[in-house]
Amino acid sequence: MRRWRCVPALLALLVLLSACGGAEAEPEVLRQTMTDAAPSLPEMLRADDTDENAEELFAHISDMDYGKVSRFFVLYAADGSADEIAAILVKNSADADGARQSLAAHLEDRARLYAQYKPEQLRRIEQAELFVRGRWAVLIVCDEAAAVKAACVRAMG
Amino acid sequence: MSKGFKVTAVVLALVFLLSGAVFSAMTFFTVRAMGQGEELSGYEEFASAEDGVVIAEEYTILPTTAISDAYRAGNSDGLNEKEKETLEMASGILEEIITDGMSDFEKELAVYDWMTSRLTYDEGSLVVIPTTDADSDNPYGVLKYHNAVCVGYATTFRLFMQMLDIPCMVVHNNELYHSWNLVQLDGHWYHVDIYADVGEGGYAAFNLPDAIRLQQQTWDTSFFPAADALTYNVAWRNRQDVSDVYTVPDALRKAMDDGNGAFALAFTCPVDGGTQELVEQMIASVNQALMQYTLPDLPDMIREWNWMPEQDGYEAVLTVFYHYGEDTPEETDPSEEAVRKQAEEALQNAFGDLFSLSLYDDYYGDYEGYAG
Repeated sequence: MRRWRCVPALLALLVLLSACGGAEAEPEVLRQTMTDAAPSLPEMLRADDTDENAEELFAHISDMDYGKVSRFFVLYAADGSADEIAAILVKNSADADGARQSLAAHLEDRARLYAQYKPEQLRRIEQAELFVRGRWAVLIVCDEAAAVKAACVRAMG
Repeated sequence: MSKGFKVTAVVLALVFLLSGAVFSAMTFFTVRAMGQGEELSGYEEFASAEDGVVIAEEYTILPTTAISDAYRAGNSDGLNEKEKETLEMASGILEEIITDGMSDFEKELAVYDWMTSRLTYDEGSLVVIPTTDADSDNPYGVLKYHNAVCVGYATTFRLFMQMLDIPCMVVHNNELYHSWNLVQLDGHWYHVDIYADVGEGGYAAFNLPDAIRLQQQTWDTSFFPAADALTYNVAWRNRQDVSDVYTVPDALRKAMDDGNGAFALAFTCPVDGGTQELVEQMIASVNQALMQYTLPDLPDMIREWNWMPEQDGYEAVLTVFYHYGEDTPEETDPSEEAVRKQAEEALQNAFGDLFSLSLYDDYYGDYEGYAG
């Protein structure tokens, strides 16, 4: 009987451990948390996996195979400034770094565009945060990128 | 196999080889002739050399020769509805801005002036999921909505030049993120970037030689013709000789007084690194003052300056471009005595028979006027 007493504790520990890493954080919660952390964001437009033409919209931020994507969203400035928050949740954690790399390529494209047409926006690009957490790959481009990242990581647990 | 047949085969082979060699030579000399100022042959091939290229992964350079050919032939039967409408709009503009007797340079200048003053840049192209206005990348949309991205400017300018029978190409940079034009005048090519000057004019990106353009962009110089002339560069045409570096401020002031927003300082004295730096410091000082003091009828800044090495016997040439902002009316200051006095006089004139009024300047405090 003594042997079985530790089982509930072990089960509770397993649940706790599986909750860490933030791989299952809800996109809507993440989105709200991140925008709350960046009061200087201009009017932002949104595209995500619930849109009718989601795959087509996704292609504007990533060249990753859409079949590997579980959820995604992108918030982007309506006025053409560089502010942007993009997040991709992949189905398989092995693809998370691939998602990150695709967002890195997207960031490079944005940098080239702004270098040509609005060099004053490059500062935000250069201070961008790009990271992987669990199955999430996240890109943050705004004046408060570090604060937004911190809020995002907290929300992910 | 008979001897005669063998001889015939050898002769035919030799003829084939020779004709290939002659064709290659003709192509080579035609291309070389472009850089050496001779009249281009087959310019329409170069007028469409960039067609199909995609810029910024979004905007395709589309052909426009069908429209310009229809204009020159006076026959639009072969055009679709959009092309016909484009032709009508472009023809109307040319009718408005081009007059008889204009030289090619004057025609080009008239088109540049119209485009830089009437068109705006479509900022929707910078959005992550672009929301560019319809057809902002081709002449139809550019002329209809007066809104354009770089490809729109470049193809529209090319269309106008084609209609005016002036050789013109669209050029793109190596990164495929920007496009502009090369135009040929009197056998020499010049760079024109309408996008860079739109809303400002000022000629800072008008008829530039490679020597300046290579400081701003990189492109396939082995494919596109060399632009090595200054004759039709506006700054060059307004050049002032500078024999002493300490006369540079005088030259800057003279250009300002003459209303020359685009001019060049052509140095007859040696210009080493230290001289260049000193000149730039002088220019920066004037620029700082212009931005700080914002005096009426004067430039509000020096927008751009570019060095060129030895040109036409000069040791160095520096092109300079003033920027003239729009005159904004002085803001009214309600605390200013003269303003208050005038306002109170106006109040008394209107209501003096009913009340004695003073200016109510405390919306949330006690009112000082009274009825009497």
